[in-house]
Amino acid sequence: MARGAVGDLLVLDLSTRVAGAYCTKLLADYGARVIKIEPPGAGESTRRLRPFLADQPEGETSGFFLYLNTNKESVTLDLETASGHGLFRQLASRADLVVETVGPGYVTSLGLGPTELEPVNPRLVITSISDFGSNGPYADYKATDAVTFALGGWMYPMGDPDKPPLQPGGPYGEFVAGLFAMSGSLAAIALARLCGQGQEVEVSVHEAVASVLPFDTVLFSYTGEVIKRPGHRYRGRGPGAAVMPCKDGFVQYQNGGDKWRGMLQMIGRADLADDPRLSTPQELLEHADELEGILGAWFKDRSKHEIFQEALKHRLIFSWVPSVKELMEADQHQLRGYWVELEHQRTGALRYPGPPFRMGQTPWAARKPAPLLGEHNQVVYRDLLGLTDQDLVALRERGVI
Amino acid sequence: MVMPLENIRVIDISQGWAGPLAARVLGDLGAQVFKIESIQHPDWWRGRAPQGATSWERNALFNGVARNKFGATLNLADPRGRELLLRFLKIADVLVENFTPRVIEGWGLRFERLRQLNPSLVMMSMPGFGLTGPWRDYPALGTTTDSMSGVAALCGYEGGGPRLQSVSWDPIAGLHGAAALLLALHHRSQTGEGQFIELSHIEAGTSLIAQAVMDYSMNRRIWPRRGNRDWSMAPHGCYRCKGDDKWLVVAVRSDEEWAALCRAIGHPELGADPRFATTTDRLTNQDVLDPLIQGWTERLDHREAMEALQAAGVPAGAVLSAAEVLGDPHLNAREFFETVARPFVGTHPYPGVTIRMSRTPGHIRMPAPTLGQHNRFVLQDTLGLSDDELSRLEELQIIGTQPLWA
Repeated sequence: MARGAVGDLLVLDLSTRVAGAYCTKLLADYGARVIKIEPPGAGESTRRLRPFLADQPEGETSGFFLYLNTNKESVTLDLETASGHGLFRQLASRADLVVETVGPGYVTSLGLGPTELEPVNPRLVITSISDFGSNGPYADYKATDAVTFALGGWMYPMGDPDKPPLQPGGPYGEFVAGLFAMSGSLAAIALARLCGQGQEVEVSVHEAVASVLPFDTVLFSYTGEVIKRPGHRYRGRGPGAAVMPCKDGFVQYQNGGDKWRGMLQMIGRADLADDPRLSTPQELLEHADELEGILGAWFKDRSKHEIFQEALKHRLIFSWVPSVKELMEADQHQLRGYWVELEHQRTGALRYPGPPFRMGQTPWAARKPAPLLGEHNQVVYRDLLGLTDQDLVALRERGVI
Repeated sequence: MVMPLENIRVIDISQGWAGPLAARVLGDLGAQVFKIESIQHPDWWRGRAPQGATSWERNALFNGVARNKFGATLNLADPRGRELLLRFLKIADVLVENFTPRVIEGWGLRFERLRQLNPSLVMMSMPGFGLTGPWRDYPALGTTTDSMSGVAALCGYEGGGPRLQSVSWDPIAGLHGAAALLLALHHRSQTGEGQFIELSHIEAGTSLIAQAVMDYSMNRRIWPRRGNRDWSMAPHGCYRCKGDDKWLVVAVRSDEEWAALCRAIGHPELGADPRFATTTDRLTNQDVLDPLIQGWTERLDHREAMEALQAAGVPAGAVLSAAEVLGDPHLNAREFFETVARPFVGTHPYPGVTIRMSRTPGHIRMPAPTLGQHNRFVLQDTLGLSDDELSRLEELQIIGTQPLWA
């Protein structure tokens, strides 16, 4: 139990983006030994992601970095030097997995690719995450979250019909790519253990985004229909699913078809049960604004919790739209211990999101906070690889670590 | 060619999108996935009511998600159906389910019992809000978990209300589910030990807003809805292009990219304008910048505009509709779509296997199964039932190939 689900794994993490960090965070949080390999001096770029503690930009107190790098170790290493190569090769000879996010071909360009590493570690799995992969017309394109959402099709059907398409509101494409990369890595490791041979796993953020909405292209191919922006409603469900304002915020429901009668009953308008506007989905869609207006007037006078409790009684599917603050104070999360407090040298104690899922025999564990840059140089280079303290001093002087 | 998970048998009794996606990722990686539905309750993802003859076999949502699985039916409300499921579970490795706990308990399928049948079974339950806590019994669907994971609060136009994700939040739970199953299988390969996994949709889902959570945790700040703006990049927005409903996303991360953008849109002088010299300046003055950029984009096709900006080294992306994604030159050059034939719908392209593996690439080996398509393979070939036993099951409506309401 102390070792976690993947406590036997050694992972070298060269990633410099959220996707790679989340991939290896999932492994680290469930037991793997993950060693971040960062450039000496400034460290890797996700240390510079906002938000910072008290808005003071500083390499150790990026909140997002802190979250993404729990349970990991950090060493500094200049991979562009011969000594750096040598150390990396030594680490790679012991590792199960290397994760990098420059793109397929990067480790090869360093002279540390599969061909070079196979003799020292034939079972090694090398996972690459990039924006667009290594071939195709966009291979050299520059991307941010919004760019891959736009090209991947996630963004077009979001927002209001009379306004521009709307970005999703967070770096979700990165997380999705990281999730695919993590699954692919574990599958490749499983096969490597069986047959003695590793391989390369590749995920592109663009394709990960395009995969997460797998049926819009299928729908178009089947029927020629293109899903359009639904405004405050949910795509393809007409007025059956929507977000609506109420007295103290917003509620949200997903009650298609017959359940509209249920909603009208809840608000004391059972008299509308046989209204022709409810008779078919087409009628409902045509009269959506009016019908929502009737609901909306009732919502406006009531709080989200009142509305929600009433909906429960009527067996209707409702929720509300909580803010981060409300979620951090929610009984549900408090009682389940979802928010986890971690102490970090530079920030003191902070609350973090906890386990994304609960494993009965090999639970998630926050064993240590995100590492300081190079915090584990001794533990890794000296204790794991057998270098001496003088070796480390010399390497530091030459800027290798 | 040996596939990574080809010796793993997954029994998927889940419905909808999240559970079936978790199982499908394993299927894409080579596992043998058996999707178990019933003629009483086919997967509601096929469409709840018939919208025409055989509509449950012509649903793009179902067909897009359910590939790489065998399909069988078993009426689990019937003890004889459950008995067959238990026999199957004895020789299976993974069970994925998302029924309400009351139903699972009523059917005698709690993990404590199943592990006695099969000590190395990995079982995953996927309740919307978790198996414990005051929200435990709240109804959950993909849009409600979008809201309750805190995602909806962060999405919307400036000064406007929350907007829902086009993907709902189901696939986030599904992808975490696949990760969880692979972790459990790894542990099992080391120890022989199975386990129970509880995946609450909102706990998985809230991971993705960690950046916003940490800002509240550290600084007590709640993020406003920003539309298409960004808090650390400017200009950043979605600009109208020539034609009907064509748009371009532009994201400028640095002063270099800013100068390149200015040259590309024919306003090099802006690159030296002190109002826009730094990111902070540009964030402050973005209202002035947006019309300048749109003055350029609206004269161009969105792809042309994207190509021009990318050639100049500026991050830009055409906002593609599903029709355009299907025809996208990059996705097609990379063979992202696979053309697959399937009964009832014919031959169509489908998004392929996202995870690319150099020695054991994944493919769509099987289209989404028709209802009960592999009843014989599961019940006869795998569980050893005779022709007579199969006929009897069909008579009793424990198995079948057509929804009862058809």
